[in-house]
Amino acid sequence: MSAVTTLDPAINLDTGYNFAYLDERTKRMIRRAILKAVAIPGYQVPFGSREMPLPYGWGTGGIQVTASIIGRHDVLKVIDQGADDTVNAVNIRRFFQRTTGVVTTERTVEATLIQTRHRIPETPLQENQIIVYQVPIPEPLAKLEPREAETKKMHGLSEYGLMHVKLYEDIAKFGYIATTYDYPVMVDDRYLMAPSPIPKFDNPKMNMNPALQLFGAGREKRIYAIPPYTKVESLAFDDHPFEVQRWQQHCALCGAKESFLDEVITDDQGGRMFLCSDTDFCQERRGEVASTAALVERPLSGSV
Amino acid sequence: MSTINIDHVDAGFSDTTQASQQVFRLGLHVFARPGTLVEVPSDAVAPKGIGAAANALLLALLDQDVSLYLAPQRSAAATYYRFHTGCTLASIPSEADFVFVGIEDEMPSVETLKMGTEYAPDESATMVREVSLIEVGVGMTLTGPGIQTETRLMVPELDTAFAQTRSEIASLLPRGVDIFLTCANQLCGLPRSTRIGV
Repeated sequence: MSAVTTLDPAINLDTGYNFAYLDERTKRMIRRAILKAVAIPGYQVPFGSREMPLPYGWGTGGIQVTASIIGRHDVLKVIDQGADDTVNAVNIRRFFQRTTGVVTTERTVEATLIQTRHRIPETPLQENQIIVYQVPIPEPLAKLEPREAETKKMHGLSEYGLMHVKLYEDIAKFGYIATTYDYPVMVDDRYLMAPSPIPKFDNPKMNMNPALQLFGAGREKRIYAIPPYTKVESLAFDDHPFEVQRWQQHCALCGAKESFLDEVITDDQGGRMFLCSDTDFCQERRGEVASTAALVERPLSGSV
Repeated sequence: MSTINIDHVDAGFSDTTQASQQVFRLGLHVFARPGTLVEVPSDAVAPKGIGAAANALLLALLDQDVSLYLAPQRSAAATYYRFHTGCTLASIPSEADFVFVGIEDEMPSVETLKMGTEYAPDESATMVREVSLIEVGVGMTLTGPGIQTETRLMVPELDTAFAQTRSEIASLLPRGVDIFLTCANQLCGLPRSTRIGV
């Protein structure tokens, strides 16, 4: 049994809306912004973000980017913190099923288009894939310099000393760089970029990734991109090199040592377990270890 | 404004929504992977002297929010894009958001086009350049974002003078001009981030 499900358009397709919900003129505006974003890697292109049928902060930027690029032949995967079955992922997936009728999947390897909130899948992405990130704060300097006129100048002049000072202050205070997510990166040696609140564990995956990476911030009205095979470097110092999180534990379900683990509290007696944050990765591994039954047991969220 | 006699305007896409999405997606593919060649399917009837890929791209990306520059003799094409997309027409290349250059048209010097500013490099022109031949694997070397190691591209119209101008404006990055190369139904991308060597 495959994890791919096709929605019956006769029953579920919402014909009251244009394909992928947005009107054509909005899509064209966003498409032109995406092309400029790809041509200027890491630069935040302003765009006319629309009001969407869910509030800002729920992935409206990512949804608008996805809606502007998705086609009938795409296979869509949506994840929220690595999981396909959390509320944000389920809702966004259903939104695109109803407005486009595309095939959806939970398997990273089957997807052509992946919309994500705050994780990059553990399974390496491929050349034919596009990953769309939902971004709350696109401006990496926002917490250090609230005036947008100033941050624009800093980007224009590639003047990023402020961010180095911030990381240095971490070292002075804690002895190490304490930033663990939304860890700033330099794209193609030119633009400082917020990778969205992915754990810094995922930062190395952005570098020279074969897939196209697009970022949409709905409330802040910005789109930016990292083309495939582009240098993405996490900021660091020579004597304090960039490091990712490591765990003492293995995943309690699949035994993975190298994946990003979530800590789950199991009772009020201090019981806890560590699980893969990437549910698809975890299931695939368990499928390998035992049988494919693990995949079949799981209800397919595509059949909502 | 003079009225348009639509008996003399050729057909655009039969399915604007789906065709625009497909063409944009191919445009995105070639911009993200400079030096890759794709074939663009299109059922639109292109104006004379404009290839199928260039035409499909313009139909997919133009609307009333952007301006297009066409060589002065392309009045039929001007009517066609005004009618199908609602775009405005720029009288000189330096004011246009999109610049189409046909094989026989005079190539406007790239440094005269809109290149944006250091603070807003996205407010720059996109050129759609129809050429007589696009050959991948030979010619000038391309490196940069979207290219794993390096790739080669040979286009007769992009001569050493073009390469010279392009390397000069490369020093102005992130300001710059992004180019789609088209040859009949073939499409190839040359965004500003691509470094060209001879």
